[in-house]
Amino acid sequence: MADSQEKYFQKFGLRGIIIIICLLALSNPSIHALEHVKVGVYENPPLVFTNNHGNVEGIYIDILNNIASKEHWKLEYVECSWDNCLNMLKNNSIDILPAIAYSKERSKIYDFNNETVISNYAVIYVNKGSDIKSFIDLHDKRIGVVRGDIHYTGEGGIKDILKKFDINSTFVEYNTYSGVLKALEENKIDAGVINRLYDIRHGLGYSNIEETSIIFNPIELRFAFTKNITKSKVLIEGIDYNLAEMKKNKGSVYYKTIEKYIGGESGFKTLPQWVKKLFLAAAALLILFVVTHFMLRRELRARTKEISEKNSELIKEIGERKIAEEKLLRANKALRILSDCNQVLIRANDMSKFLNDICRIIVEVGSYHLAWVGFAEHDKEKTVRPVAKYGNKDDYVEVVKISWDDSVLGRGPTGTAIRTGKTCFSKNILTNQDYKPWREEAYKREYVCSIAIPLKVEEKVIGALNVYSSEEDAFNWEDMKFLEELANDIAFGIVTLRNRIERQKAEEDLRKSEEKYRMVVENVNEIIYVIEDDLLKGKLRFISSKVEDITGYLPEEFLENPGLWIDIVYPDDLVDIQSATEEILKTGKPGTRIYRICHRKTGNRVWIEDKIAPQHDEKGRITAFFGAARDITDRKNAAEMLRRTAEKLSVIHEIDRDIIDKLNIDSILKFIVNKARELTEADVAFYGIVEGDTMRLYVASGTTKDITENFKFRKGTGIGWFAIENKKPVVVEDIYNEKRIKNIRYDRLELENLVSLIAVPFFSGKNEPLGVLFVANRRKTKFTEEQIDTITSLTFQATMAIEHPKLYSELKKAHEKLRVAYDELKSISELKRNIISNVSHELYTPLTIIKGSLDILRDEEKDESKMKLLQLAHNAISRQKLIIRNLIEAAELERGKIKLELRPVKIEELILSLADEFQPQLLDKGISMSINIKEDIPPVLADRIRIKHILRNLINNAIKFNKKEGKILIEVEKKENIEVCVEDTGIGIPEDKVNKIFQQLYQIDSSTSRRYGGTGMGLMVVKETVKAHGGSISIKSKEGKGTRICFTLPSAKKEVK
Amino acid sequence: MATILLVDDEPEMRLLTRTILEKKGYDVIEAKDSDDTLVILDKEKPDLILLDVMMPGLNGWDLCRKIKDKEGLKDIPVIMFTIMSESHNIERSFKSGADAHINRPFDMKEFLDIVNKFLKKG
Repeated sequence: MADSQEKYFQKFGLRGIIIIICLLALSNPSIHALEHVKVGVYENPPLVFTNNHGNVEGIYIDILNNIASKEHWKLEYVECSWDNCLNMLKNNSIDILPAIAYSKERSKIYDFNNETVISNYAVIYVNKGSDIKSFIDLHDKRIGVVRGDIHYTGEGGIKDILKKFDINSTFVEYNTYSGVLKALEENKIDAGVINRLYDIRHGLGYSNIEETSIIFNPIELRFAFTKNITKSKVLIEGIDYNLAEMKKNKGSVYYKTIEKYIGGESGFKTLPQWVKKLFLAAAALLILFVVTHFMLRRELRARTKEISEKNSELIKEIGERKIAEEKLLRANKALRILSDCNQVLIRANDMSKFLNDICRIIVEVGSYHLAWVGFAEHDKEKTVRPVAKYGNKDDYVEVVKISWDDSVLGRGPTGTAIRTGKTCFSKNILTNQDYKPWREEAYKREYVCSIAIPLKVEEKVIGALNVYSSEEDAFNWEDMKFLEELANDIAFGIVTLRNRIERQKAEEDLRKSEEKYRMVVENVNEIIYVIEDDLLKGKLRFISSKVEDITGYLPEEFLENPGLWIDIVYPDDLVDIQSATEEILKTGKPGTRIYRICHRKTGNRVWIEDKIAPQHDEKGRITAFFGAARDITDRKNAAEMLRRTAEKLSVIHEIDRDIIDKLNIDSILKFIVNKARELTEADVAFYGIVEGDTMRLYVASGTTKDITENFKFRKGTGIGWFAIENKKPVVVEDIYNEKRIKNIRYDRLELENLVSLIAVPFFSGKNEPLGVLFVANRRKTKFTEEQIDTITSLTFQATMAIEHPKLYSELKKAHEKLRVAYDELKSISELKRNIISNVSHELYTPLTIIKGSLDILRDEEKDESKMKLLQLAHNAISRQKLIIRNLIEAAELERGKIKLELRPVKIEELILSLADEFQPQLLDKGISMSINIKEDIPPVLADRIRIKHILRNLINNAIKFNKKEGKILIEVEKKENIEVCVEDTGIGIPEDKVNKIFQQLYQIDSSTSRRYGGTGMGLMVVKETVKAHGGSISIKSKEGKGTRICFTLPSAKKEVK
Repeated sequence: MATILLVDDEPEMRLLTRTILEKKGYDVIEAKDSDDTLVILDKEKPDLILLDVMMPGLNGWDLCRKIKDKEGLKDIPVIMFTIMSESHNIERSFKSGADAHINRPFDMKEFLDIVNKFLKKG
């Protein structure tokens, strides 16, 4: 026993000694070694600053002086700018920097003391009447901030918060808070971020500026020290100890200095003010604040009770101080929660998460047992369905059954609250008779008291918020009021969320429809755009991406800079644009502008045809313009070239008179006049050629006598001159009934018994009359527009023949060029065919190796599933073989190089061997194939390999386009020749497409080729091969029913004989 | 067992054909072109020759003609074994003296049947 006592003593004693040594080690240097402490001073009134007399003062300075006197420190104040101060502290040029906001980030760089001197936060200020009420409203706004301010770029600062909320705003930086306020007054910014202490000290000084309920970034202002050095540790210890002592004593320097600089306790009493403001703020922000405030009050009550028990005046005073301090702490906490909650609310897209979060906050902050939200169902039982819950043993809400019917299950607080729309509570669940159905479950979970508050949306009760406490009579009137307000906010939150979800859906729909529209627009070959207001300088609402191809600029560039379009137009064309635009504006009708622009990348001139349709509102005012612009450079260039060619020809004409004379104009004109008669189906056609003041009849077609000889019309006589004077075609239905023309030469017309005619005059490029082309009938005729048009266009040719005889030789040259090009093309085409043929042959070699290797595997494979795969590959190879074969055949057929090795071939043998070959594919699709060969079919004279190939093509098609479980019938019959038919029950071919089916690369449509595969070359090869054999091919098909293709081959009998 | 001389310029093709034939128990000698073939035929007398057509140097048809014109070799059956599968090409094989013509891609069974037929005769 003594032995163990001694051991115990030894152990205990040893520990005591160690503790004493440690204490000595810590306390010793603090008294003796530290005499000199350098304190950084910068401008941060009222916390620390240099006054007008050059003396350093401020709350922190007063406190620090007091502590220094107790700790025997000698303080030296070092004035520095804010940035400089921080740097000096970092490299220990100073020891202490006062009034520094504590943050995790900063605590990595500096050491901080633990005791907070004062708290601060940021407030958003706006002009009176601004619609900025919450963080969300800051979207797209200009916000004034102080450069380097912790409330701006610091953690939890405005930039940080807005980023977290996905809110985009523009920040405008200023050097001071007064700079921000001034800018706000002058409307240069929409909102300003101001430090709370600034407001307290300075007042706003601007009558038109007010504080919003947007408060954020609570910060604790402490002392900062150089990181990780012993001196800092000692200083921190000294400051923390003394500061804590000061806070306990109402008469201490701490309270005096705060009183002096920021109106004593008013610095703390600002708290209820902003609490009040928060209540007025947007409902979303309210919810949490109510909870926090509620909690604060509870704490206050608890404290008061405690203090009254102690019943000591002094302690009471201290208690109140503590409460004040506590309030400050809670304010910080409340602000933190507020900040978190803002995020929850803004991001909440999910009703249940939102409600669950609210329940959690009520329980956590209010120290309750359980909170849940139930919705009133309109079913038969009138069930209250729990939708959110949080708390101790919250399975309660699933275990119990609650109704809002006026029945036993509906007379509890929840049911009653929903039914009556009034708050209802049960002071003591254990004694309340109405609570009987749930008492046992509640008792198990230590729920003693509960309250239910109805949730009302537009005066309708949709459910209830329920809160449970483990204390009896836990809810007084004030609690009730708070919870009711909270319930209001929850209801508001529900409505907001519902709206938000609906809006999101609507936005999604809109986005989809816009996408669809955009797709249509983007696929068009034109630039589609929409301009608002002013056609020349108005805002582009939309421009399709085609614009990039045509102009080289991106659509965004046009959207950002409305003047860009006009900037890239050729200056020469601006006048045209202006007048065309005015015309559109004047008439309000669609119009077209044609002009040139300069392509950004190529620098090329691009001709634009720009069609504009104004959009009207119901009053007929123009609201917007829809435009479609396209590139018509090619068209313009072609026209330009034509003009130049004509010019050239006319020059040649001028110079080369000799050559012209040698050209045979007569034959051209004769050709034209014959065509004129032919095309109009008229009896007679002839020219009247102008020679000075007379007109000579010239080259006739369809006449019986020579009407052209020895006769000239004087100017002003006859229908011909009439047409020339009127400069347009003249139509005479009946010469004996013609009133417009005075001196008709009936004698000439009667030579051929002509009764009706058309006379079309034609003129030179210089508008001199060249002649008239007549078309006439020996009966009355109602000529058609088409006939007139035909003759008119022929007169153009006549004009050219007369005006530009050189054209003929030009044409000849062009023809020669064309021929050369054609020859070239032909040889390229030949080359192409050779390449196809060679490549196709080359394709066989690798295919042979694949097929051979697979055959070996197939030969040895026992596993049925693997066998299936091998069979699959085998079928694919067969198909590939067929395609390659078709390619080779098609190339040879096209080249006309096909060489048939004709031999007597027994067609039925070929068919039977193919039936074997296709057996796997037939089985695969469940198609039954029957072969019907009439007896005594003589051999055909054919190229065995080629005939086998075309049969393979036909059977392959019959399988490929057949339905599952379909049928194929192959029939061979001896008629005049031998006829082979392959019939299927497949998809068939539409009537209008049957004839095209034998063309190369033809399949009914592209979708068919995707569904059934193939190159569409097979049937072309079949047809050409049959033709090469001297046979014929026919097809009968009904869409949806099937197809029957028959071909004939000559019998070999005669040859065999 | 019978020995088959396989003439083809494509190594993969030779490997494939050799595999098929060896599985059936034939001995296979390989030659990559006409020169190779003639050197081998100076020393050995295979029971069957399989000839590709498209080869560098002398093509299969000409090589076949050469073999068939040589005393002592003309008895060896020659099978043309080629992608040149059109009728006129088959015709040309026979004109060159080949005993058979097999188109590529070939059917293994058919191929082996033909090979077998010629070796049984011998």
